[in-house]
Amino acid sequence: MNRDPFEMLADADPAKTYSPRDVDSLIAKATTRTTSPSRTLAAFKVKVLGAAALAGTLTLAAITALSGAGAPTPALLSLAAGSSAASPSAANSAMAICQWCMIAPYNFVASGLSSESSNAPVYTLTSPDPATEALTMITYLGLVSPSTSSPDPNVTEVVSGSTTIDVAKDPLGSLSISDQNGLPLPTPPSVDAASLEAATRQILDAAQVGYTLVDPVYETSTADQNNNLPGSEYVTFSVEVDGHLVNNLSVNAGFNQYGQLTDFSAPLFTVASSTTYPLISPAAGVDTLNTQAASYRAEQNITNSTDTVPEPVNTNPSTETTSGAPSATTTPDSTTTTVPQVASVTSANIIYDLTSLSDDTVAIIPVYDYSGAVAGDSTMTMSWFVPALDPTVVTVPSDWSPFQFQVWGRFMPMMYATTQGVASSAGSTSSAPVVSSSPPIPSVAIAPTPLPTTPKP
Amino acid sequence: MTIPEAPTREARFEAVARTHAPAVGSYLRRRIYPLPASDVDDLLAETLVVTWRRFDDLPESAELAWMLGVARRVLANAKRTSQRREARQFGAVHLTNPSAESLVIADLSLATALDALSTDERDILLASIWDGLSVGDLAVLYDVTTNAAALRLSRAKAHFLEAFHAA
Repeated sequence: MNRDPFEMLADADPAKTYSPRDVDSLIAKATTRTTSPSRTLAAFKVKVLGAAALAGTLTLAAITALSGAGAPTPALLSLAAGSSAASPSAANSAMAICQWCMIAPYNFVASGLSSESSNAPVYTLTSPDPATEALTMITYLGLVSPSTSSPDPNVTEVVSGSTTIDVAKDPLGSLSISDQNGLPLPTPPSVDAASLEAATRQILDAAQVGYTLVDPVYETSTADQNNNLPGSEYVTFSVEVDGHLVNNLSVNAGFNQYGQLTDFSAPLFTVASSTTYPLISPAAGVDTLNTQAASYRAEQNITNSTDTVPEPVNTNPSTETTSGAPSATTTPDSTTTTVPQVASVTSANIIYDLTSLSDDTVAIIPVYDYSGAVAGDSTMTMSWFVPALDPTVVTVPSDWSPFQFQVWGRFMPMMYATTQGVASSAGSTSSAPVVSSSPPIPSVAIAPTPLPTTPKP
Repeated sequence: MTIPEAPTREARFEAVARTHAPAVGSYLRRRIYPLPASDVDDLLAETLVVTWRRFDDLPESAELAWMLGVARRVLANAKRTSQRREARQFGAVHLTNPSAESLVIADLSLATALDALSTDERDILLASIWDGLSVGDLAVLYDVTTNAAALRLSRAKAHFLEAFHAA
């Protein structure tokens, strides 16, 4: 039976059984302030600390700049000590189910991928102070009698008539403008693609962002008299930094039929530095996928037949499941035995994704975007993501096992870096080609929480 | 939802809070990951404190959407605080995870389809499906025009269906 996906989604509501503990008490606290916000926050912080320790969320990252003798070298990404594995509670969570589903069932096989490594830049980004940026936009847009507030040090809100502006730093900067009635721009555009595109660029020029807009996509909403909705034109741009398309970033602008701005949202940042790092080869990244899959299986007490029997991977589709999930049996000692599926990785592209630095700044890093198919299911093309940075530029403490890059919008497979590998990394990085003389990035935050790789349909 | 008239500011707040607290708490519960679920009521309390403080700003026709907007900020601040605490504690920063909702869904097809959406698309789709908000409420929640909310929801639904059937 084919169920409506929206009904399925509604049924998956994680709050179906939720109800507040004691509404009377919450109301009393709010009105009488018997519990001050700061006390609530303090309690909250303590709880989070315990939860984080329980989940084994740790990691680290300080980057030590390697000033090579004479020649500039990329900074070494050095990981601090932390817990090495997820706790049983994390392994038993719903999250763990998805880890299993998305990565562990597969044996990855590189098909025609290059074994040659290369280099690529890592960019650090800086975002403006929200209050300062809000003033810039007030001036540019010519807002009259603006009312400015900052409910949070990292957020500035401006209200002027029907116009509202939100500028945030979270930690990447963002700007959003909304005006139900339509905000006339300093240079009113005609309602045509070129004019609206130019108007969007002018707003970003005023905001002095450090990226370029590419690939505009236009959508027209016709007027809906019944619901009193006017016609609108929306344009969505992708974002490029130094010629690299950045995942999960876009600029959106909406205009009414008079060319007045109704909606606008954009990231706010400039590039602070660019440093070239060595990358692993596309083929080596597939090894990383297998390492991660084995690691997940180990964490979940799942025995893959290829983990215990050193035989060639069975590529006969007739003996494999075709549903996207492996067949499995559970033994009395709770170890699950599975028949793995072969995932043939056929292409690799370098893309850029956002990640964070330990000093609260943001970076974009090169990532391999792999595509491939699962044997026995030719209808499904999947993608997996692996940080393309060579692990020899990352130091990992000896008590660490697999770690994982977490980037905005997706989770990527874990990478292994042994102490031995780290020891050899200093030498390898000192001879790595470096195309940028920018100062080394100060640190990179790598989130090791064992979360799933996100397959892309 | 119609809330009876109450004579005093405090009584009006109590009526509003009692009516909408379950929905606001559910909104937080759905999005609490990676914070522990036990924090939901603390964040609900924070949301009610802010609502009480700014009660005079509460739009009569969109109380729930307005309160969800407060809850959204409270939750974002809590996650940000958690990230900074972890950064200080462990030297790392966990960024907001736009796929958080998908991680609490065991169905792979649904989780994959949600992951294929942009953050904005996922937010507005789940606010519609899980929180039952109308287009007008969504416009209040996200501080956009009704037209924009309708378009974004329509786009999110289309992308979700496309991703679901491709998965």
